[in-house]
Amino acid sequence: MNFKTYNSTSLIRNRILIFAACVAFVTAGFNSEMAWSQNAADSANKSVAAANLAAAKELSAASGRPIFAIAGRST
Amino acid sequence: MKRLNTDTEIAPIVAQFVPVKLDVDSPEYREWRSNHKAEGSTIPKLFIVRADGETLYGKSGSLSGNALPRMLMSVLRHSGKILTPRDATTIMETTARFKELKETGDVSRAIKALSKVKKLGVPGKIKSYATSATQLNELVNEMSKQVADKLAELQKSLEESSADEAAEVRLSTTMAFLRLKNDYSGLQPVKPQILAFQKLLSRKEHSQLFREAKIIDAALSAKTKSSTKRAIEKLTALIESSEIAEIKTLATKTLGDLQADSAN
Repeated sequence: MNFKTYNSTSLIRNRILIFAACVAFVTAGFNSEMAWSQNAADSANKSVAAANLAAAKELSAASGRPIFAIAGRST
Repeated sequence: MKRLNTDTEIAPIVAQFVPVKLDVDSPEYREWRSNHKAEGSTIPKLFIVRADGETLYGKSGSLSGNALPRMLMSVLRHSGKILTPRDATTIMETTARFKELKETGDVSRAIKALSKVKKLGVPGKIKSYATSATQLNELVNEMSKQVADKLAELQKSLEESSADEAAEVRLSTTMAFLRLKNDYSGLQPVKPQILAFQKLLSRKEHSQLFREAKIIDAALSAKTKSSTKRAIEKLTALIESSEIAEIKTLATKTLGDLQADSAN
């Protein structure tokens, strides 16, 4: 009887542990997915400024994005 | 330039561009100015230059408030599609495959290879100014022009030889059209011209010759044992039934070739 009681308690405890592990795993996965999506959204909204005109021309030709050039005096 | 980095509201719009700062005292700016004009003489000057080098905007003075996003949105309408690195790679790979197959003379497979870029638009009319897209468009348009020229030449030949005595010319023109159609029917920009020529051949004065020429053309493309057998049957019936001497002659020659091939 005792053995049986111990066994069923252990079974329930194990199930709770497995459930908790699953929740933790899914939550971690969800968080990492969210972080990835956020990074993707951030990078999509960020302009990649070119270091110089040659690099800008290269980036523009490869992607089809127009060059936004601001001409001024360097200070 | 500072606003481009700090104003989060315009960031999604600015991300569609490649921002760059130019020093007006530098030699590269002098070269830049020789290609891109700007209104006004003060600095700063703002330029928007499309990927193919076309100046879309060039003016002195910075734009404050809503004027900047409004101008950017306006030029984006004329900037063409922006390609992801994967899109650009797909186009470059397709271009390489297209060239390779075309050079080996396998035109229909070269045209089939173009289907890989169809999600970006009709090859020859991909609405992007990225170099990869414009190069592929040029190649496809060059091929389309050659086909269109050939079709015009065939049409001229057909129109000038509509008299009965010119059946030989009409047959060779029709056979040339059928070969061209077999190779290029998948080439989107020339589809309307191919259909128009087919319509012309379907007219009463050409329809019999066209119908019978198609039997010979199908026989010429027979590759398997069963299709060769069918082609031999159809050619035999055609030789019996045709009222056009030139068709009989060509069908007899084709039949002989097929029989010789199937015997080997």
